[in-house]
Amino acid sequence: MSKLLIFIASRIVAFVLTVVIGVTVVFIIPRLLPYNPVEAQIGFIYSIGQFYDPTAIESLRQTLYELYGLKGNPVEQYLGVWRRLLTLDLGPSIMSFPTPVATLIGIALPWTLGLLTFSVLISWTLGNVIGTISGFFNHKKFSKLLTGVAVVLYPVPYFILALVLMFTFAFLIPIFPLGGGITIVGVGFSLDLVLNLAKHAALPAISIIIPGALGWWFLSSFTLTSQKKTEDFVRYAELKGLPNGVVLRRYLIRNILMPQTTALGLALGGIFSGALLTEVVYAYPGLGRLLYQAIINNDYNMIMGISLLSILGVSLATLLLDLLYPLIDPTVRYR
Amino acid sequence: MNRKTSYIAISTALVLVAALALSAVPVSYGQLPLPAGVPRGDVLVIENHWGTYANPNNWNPIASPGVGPASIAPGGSGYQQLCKAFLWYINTSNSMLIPWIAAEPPIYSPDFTSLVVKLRDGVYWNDGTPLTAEDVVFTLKYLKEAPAPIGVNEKASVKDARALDRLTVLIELVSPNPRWHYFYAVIIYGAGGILPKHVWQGKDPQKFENNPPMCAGPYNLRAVDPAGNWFLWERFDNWWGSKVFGVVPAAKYVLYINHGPDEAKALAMTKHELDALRTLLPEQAELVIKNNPYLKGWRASPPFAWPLDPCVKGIAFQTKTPPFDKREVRWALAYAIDYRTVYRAFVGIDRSTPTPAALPVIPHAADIETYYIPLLNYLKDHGYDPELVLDIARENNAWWVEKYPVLGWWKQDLAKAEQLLTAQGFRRGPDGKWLLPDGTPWTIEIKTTSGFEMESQRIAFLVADQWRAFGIDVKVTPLESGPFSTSYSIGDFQVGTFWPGCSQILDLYANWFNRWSSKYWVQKKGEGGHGTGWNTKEAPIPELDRIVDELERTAPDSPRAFELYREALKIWVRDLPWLGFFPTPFYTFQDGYAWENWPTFPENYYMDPVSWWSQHLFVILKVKPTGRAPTKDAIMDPKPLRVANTPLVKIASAAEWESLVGGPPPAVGVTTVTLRETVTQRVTELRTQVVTQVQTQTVTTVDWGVLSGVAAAVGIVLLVVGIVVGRALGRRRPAQ
Amino acid sequence: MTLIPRTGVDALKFLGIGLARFSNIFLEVFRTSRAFRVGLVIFAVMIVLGVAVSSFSPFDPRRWYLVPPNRPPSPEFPLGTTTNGQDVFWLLTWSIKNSLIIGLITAMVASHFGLILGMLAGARGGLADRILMIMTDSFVVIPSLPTLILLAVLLRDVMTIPLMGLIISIFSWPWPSRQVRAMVLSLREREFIATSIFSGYGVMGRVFRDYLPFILPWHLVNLTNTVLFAISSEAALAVIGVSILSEATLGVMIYWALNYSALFRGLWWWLISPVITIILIFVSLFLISKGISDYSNPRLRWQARG
Repeated sequence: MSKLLIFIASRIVAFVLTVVIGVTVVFIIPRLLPYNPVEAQIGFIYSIGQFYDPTAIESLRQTLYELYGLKGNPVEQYLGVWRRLLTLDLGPSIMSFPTPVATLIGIALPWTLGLLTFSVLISWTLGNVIGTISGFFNHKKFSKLLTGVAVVLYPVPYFILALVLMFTFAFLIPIFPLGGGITIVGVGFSLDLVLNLAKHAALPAISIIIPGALGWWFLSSFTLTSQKKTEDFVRYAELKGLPNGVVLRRYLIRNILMPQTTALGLALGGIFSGALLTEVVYAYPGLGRLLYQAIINNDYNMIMGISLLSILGVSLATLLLDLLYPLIDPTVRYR
Repeated sequence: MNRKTSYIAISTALVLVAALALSAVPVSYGQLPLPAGVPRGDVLVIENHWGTYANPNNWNPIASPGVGPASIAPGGSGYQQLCKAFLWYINTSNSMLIPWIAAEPPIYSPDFTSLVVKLRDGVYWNDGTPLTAEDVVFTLKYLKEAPAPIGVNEKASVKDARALDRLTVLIELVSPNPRWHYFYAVIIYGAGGILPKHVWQGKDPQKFENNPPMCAGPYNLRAVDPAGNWFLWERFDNWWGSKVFGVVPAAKYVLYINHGPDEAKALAMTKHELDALRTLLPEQAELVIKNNPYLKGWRASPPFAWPLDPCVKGIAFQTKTPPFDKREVRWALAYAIDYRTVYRAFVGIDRSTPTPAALPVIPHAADIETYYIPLLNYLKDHGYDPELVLDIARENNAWWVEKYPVLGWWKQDLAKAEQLLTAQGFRRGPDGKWLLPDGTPWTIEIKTTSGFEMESQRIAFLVADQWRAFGIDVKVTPLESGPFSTSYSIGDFQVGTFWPGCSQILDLYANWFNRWSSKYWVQKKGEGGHGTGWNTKEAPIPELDRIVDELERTAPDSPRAFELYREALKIWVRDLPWLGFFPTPFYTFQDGYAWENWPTFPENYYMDPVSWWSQHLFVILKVKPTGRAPTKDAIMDPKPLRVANTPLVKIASAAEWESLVGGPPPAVGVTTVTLRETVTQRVTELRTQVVTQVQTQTVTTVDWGVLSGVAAAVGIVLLVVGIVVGRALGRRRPAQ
Repeated sequence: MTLIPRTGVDALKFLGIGLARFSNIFLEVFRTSRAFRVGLVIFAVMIVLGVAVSSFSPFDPRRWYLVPPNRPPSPEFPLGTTTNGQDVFWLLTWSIKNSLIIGLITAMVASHFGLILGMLAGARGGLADRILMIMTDSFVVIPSLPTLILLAVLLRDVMTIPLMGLIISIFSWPWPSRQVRAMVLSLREREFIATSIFSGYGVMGRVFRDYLPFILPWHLVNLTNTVLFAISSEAALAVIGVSILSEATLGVMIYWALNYSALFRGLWWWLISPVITIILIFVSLFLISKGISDYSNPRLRWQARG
């Protein structure tokens, strides 16, 4: 068997093992929590003052345990989870019983995909372009200014940035709506619909792009560039009298691209857990908001479903990156 | 991923670019989801307080308790206000019945084992099918036969149901129960509704999505946000109520919408993009009060907050766990609390004050007369001080100070607390901190809310502070709704800001009595009796069991029942299983910009201003356009709605019952309860009484100075830091 | 397996040398780098505020209603007071202390764990690499913020400040570990490593002698990032309400300020104080790491000396 095949096979084994470990962890943690969805629901019924027959409550409790798949010992439950996952059945959502988890994820997924694919790509590109250029010319004025701005912007808590943006652009200067995903009645593809979607996605996107592009991506590519710049091969190129543009394009970018592509791949894989805080602030109907609701309502099946999606997303991205490494960096061999 | 899915994804992503370009174009309205060309003035916008619905297409109201847009619990979608078919409503402000689809109160047999329900003639489903006794019988049987947890109440209580004629239903009960009809009477948060037989017959009760829902109300579902944040309802012009009551609601559309976190809701209210809202923390309310000159709350002018939410918030003890199993310890902890400080912390910026509630009974005027005043001396024996916060309340023009200056609380008495604890074997350690009788340090954990019901969290932190000052170590643990409800339900707590005593109506049995009786306790492995609420007790209270038993054979509004309610309250005070502070004030704002004739206290108080209750229908039927916002299809001067308020039950004599279920129904003589009438009379009196109010001038501008100051400050700081960093980086010159 | 003792000896040897050099390096960096000096001064101020000044607090600043609420900054209350009647200045000093503890614990535990694991995996290659990477990947793929929320809810009863730092560590090591491994993989293909292997250096030897100088700058940047990541993770947990709400941390301060709408009510001193503090901590750490990384990159140093 060729080395390449062995390499690919071993990566796939690693991928499978990773997913198994991930799912196991995600199975265990929610079940250790000091609450369970059935009792929470009973408590909720009491707390809203609904009139119930006192004897009916107990039978309600017993049935709910059964329906939610919470009967049986942990091993049985664990095997049950795998049986269901392998048949692609994520079970019913507990907080939206009896709607299947898959349906709810199907409703939320496109929102998150649309918002995050766009904002992650934009902020990656923007951040890396500015960061690399600033890193290359790291003694110029604009470079220092940008670094200063990035260093200040990066640590500002997400939530606060989002609130400030909302306050500014939805209230003081009401350009964008306060939140939500879409506010248009009637279906059918039209320019209005598209504009409406765009207006709602704009503020969440901006609050992801700003700290991403000007914060993390800028700083990391800036640091990388200013480091690489001092290495022999770059200095050699410079001494040869090559113009800056050529040095940057031919010598530096490839070297910076590698770690940054790894990071992009993982960031894209991470899309599947949604942008929790942003989606909560803007009432954006994506996976992050769904997951947050699932966590506070302890909807095991939903937590499992979204986590599984996210685990698959990131591990697939990792797998692809591993397989693609040698293509990006010719100095790495398959082994 | 199906086609629709990928289409949303792709278009969202693609057009974000366009959005960034768009940001230069200012947009004023058009933020609300309305059909093309609908002006703002045609729409009543109400807060969807539930948040984002995970599956906005499931309108099955029975599949699971507390779930989905159509469920009984969340009133955020508008289903229970606009669509659901209810037999009766209960008017929470006077505890009387409002027959709706039923023509009159239920008629019980003398032994309470059966009842007869008579329906109105001329009630139709919104597709024109008559709503008849067949539908009621179908609903009861359908629920009884459906797999649990659907219809647990019907399974436990209904023996049989049959139609006596087209509009009369006879329901036979498993055991005597004078309150059976509460299952189908809206108390606050919805109740069982009648299902249309022609829609539901043959459907799987769990899987049927009922989309769009078949309504028997003045609106039909027009559009739903695929993202689950909003629901748009359109007026149905052939509604049965328009013919029977002669009313047509003014608003062409009603929109239930979730704008996001509280900050977003407050901002929406100032922009007139929200007409009615559940509540805000006082601090957030401030923003709305300052910026919306048309604002109304419980009153037309400040103080705005509605002080009579049906749940008394406070601190509950786990009475099974030592040392909280001793009533002396609970009382000592009560005496260690400085109620004035807690009370003062809840005085709002608009001078809203809470209404003190030492008893687990909401102090409506009727409740004060029925419970607080008759029990006053008993309360005083236990350290109750009716004047404890009277001065604060009077300063702030609270609604009750003139007429009912009796609402106070247990006076702080550290000496007595000390003495009670010492008598139980507690003592103070060398550092002055309390030790348990076994000599170990005493640490109390208070479980409280996190992310919802934030007022309760504030109570927890305030009380923790005071107990610490008294020498007890206190730890506050905030919990999200899931773990919070669980720990309450299974009794896993020492002390928590739970609210076991919600009382919507004067009938205390319906509110929480039933769970007090030891016969309803659940036996758990290796533990004693265990239930929810007060019944975290190890030992039954025999006198209480007797009261509950007798109440289950007594009409809920008979004089005897009221005696028993008061007896039970005395036992409650003796044992003090939880400390009620007050119903936390709710800023149930109503925007007078586009709509008027909101219920405001006291001059126009026809209903509690609570937009998430089913009763809000009566508000929706009464509001009128102001003309400030452009209208097209709104009815400018709708006819007033008049509905009858009746006693809660009718009880037939043996002879009357015989003729009722035997032959054609004759006119039935009715036993009406006199006490109820007095109470009602007093409530009416209270409503007509004019409360002098100090008008607070509302400031109508955003505080631009502060805002631009903050913005400038942030900008300058960022700039300075940026420059410093830039210079610092720059000093290292490369030595080439 | 003779490898283990040899690896240990190598590690000790090079660690010793490293420690011996540390003080020299520190002095030299301090002398040559202005960024480092500025960063160090800001950081020192934070440490003094958090450790020394906070202990002079006249009362427990976490307690409510000890001072009049909603006061703007004044001589009596230098940073104003909160709606809960807390003195923002004293509260801030306590918060700085606790947040720094969280940040430093995470940085010490997570980034070093990740560094060592990543270098070992990269340098050893083969089966060890596979196993270590599967472990790392499993942690990379688990969605971190949601799991942190779950863990914070789960451990709430026993939650303390150091434990918070440890929990955040769980998700702070895998990512650097992967990055380090990638860098080592890339370095491994270069000639001098091959030379090193042929000269008989063990894995640890290669790691410390050959890889570390290249990875160190990145690691130090990562170290500062980890401190910040920990502080802002705690803030994110706090914003959702699952941090230790009765403690004083920067995140919890932000939580209460947001909870009482400080932003919209003009109580800017309450919200701005912790936010600016977080920014200052980050700026100082960034400058420090910048100074060190410029120095420790041998070529940059050479360049600097001319």
